[in-house]
Amino acid sequence: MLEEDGEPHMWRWLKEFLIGSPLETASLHEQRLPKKSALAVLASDNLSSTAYATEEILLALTAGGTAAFLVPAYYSIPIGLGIGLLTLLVVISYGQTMYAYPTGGGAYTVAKENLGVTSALVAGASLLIDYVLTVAVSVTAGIAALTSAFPSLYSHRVALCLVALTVVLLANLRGVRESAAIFLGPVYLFIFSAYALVIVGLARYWMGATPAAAPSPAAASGEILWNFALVFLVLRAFASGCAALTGIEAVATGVKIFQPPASRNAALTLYILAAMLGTLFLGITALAYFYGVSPRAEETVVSQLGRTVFGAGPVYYVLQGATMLILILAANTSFTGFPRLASVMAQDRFLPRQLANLGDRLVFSNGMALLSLVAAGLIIAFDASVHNLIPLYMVGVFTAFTLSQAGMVIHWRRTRERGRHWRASVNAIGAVATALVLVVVAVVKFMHGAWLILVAIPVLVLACRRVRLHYYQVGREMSLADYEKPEELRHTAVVPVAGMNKMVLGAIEYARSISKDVVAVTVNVGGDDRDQLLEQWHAWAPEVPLVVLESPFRSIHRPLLRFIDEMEGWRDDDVITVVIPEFVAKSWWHQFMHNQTALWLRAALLFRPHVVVTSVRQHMKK
Amino acid sequence: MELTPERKQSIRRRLEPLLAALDPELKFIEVFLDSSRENLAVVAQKEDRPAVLRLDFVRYVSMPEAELRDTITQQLRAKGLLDSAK
Repeated sequence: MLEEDGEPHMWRWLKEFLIGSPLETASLHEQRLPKKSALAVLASDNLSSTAYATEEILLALTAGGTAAFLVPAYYSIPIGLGIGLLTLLVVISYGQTMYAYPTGGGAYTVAKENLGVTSALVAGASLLIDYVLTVAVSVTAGIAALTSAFPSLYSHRVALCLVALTVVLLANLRGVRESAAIFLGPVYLFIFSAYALVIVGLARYWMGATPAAAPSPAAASGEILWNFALVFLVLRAFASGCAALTGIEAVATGVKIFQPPASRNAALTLYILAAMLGTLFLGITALAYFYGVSPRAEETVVSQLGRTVFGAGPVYYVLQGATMLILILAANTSFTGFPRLASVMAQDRFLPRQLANLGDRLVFSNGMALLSLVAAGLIIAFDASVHNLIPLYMVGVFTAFTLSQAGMVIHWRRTRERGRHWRASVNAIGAVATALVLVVVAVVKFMHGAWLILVAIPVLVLACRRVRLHYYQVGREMSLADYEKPEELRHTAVVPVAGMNKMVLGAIEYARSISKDVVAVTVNVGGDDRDQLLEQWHAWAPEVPLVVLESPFRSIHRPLLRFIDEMEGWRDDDVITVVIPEFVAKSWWHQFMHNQTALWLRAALLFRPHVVVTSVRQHMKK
Repeated sequence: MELTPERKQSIRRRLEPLLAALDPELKFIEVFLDSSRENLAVVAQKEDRPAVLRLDFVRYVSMPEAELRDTITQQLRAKGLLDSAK
């Protein structure tokens, strides 16, 4: 049933089938990726936003998806350019961060080094929450695309989301190299098809093959009155379009997955990613204006553009298929970002240490499992609705952007490097700009769910502090500084038994080898085998007293636990050792038929400070 | 750690009526001695609540009945197995 390393055959086979054989720690460097593959792993979240960022701007300008624009449609162009400029600032800032902090960690590390622990925790908590939301939103959006094509699947959307999530999880658990190989195709397919859309669309527009943009009623009438409501509308459009920036952070967090020189390769990849993001986002925004496309409930902006530019032929369907895949695969970026950030925070003892452990395939598998669990919880809680999940988005990522850039300003002030003044200026402008976007996003989306994130971030920060305090207290209590060697330990061994057999005698012999004081105890729940047991006991273990407790209410647990408590206080022993006789069955399913009381007893005694629990196992041959 | 059957019987004969007199629901369960042969453990039980009473084995042998009764009463009260009025 068991391998030499203690893992059951079936479990090991299943694990190897699903995620592959374990990799040696020495091969860690082989898991590092060249730029082309790393781009596929880290770009999907960011690039997927080009599929909906333009639509978000247009939706905001039409105040909720009516065809009539409340402000001229061409406003989408300067808004898009503004977002492009903001992207440039953020990307330059993160490019600098990667050189300054090559160990990764992104906003968390920058804030910790320059702004202090609280700011670092706010940045870390914000990003962790945002990574979870990215997974929940992208998987839900991808499945929404599927259920739009096949409406009969709509009622199964939650289950389909969970299946998609499991597939992405398993692909990532196979290791960075394998997941990159799996996701390379869909990511590059989207990049090529989106560029084809922009290039062919612009060419056809300039060749005059399509009608000019239909003027909006407001623009046509020339009655644009600037007032608070209009400013709010434009700001909301800008804030909504800033969804295009989500995912940039992941490259800074994942520096360590790049082949050396990691910082340089990561920065180059980020610049390539930003260039693609900028051209695709601005290209799609421009196309939407040139072709007079407005958001419609039944069809996305990208789909309308694809149909107009390519016609409803195979190229259009390739574009749509690639868009659906990139939306689902946006989750993949979080599977790189979340576990790496969590591992950095766990190394600082702000999160459980298990999150810093590398799994069989040299990835942070515990972090991936945690990410999947929380995202699955969100998908279930929000009934797999993109509409309900979207307002939660972006608060976290802009909090991290702002803190990261503010931290870099302090960083440049502390260094003597050349160009530090202009670098600090770029970061300062970026920090102010992202802080403004953060305020706008928080205000605009507050009532739609952003409040939940504004509550969740401080709660997570507090939890991180409690985790660290716990580790600190454990460290202090375990410290050898005040250790005093005790005199010889005095302990009584208590052996709970259910009858007399080889397993019980084995436990009794073991107990006698570790203590001069051994007591066996059994609970009689009203059976008539009491006398038979006593007779057998006197025959096989006459030198060990057997206490037969009565149980008028048929509970084994209550009298047994009370007896152990009583023995603990009986003669001021240092400890009580409870020696539990246990079966180990040959087959895993036989195991379920044994040891239930032993399991329960171990759990019940876990929090009793002066009780040591040990198992003496009888291994079955058949 | 185990007493001889005869010794056990004599302790049982002495303590069983004493416990019953204190509370008819109190049952004598078992008695054993520790390896130092100084501490005598008397296991009593009321309903599903066992109690392990500790007696000085050397003193127990010559302990007057009244003192034995007081010692046991005191321990049972401390463990909440006997009303303070009794």
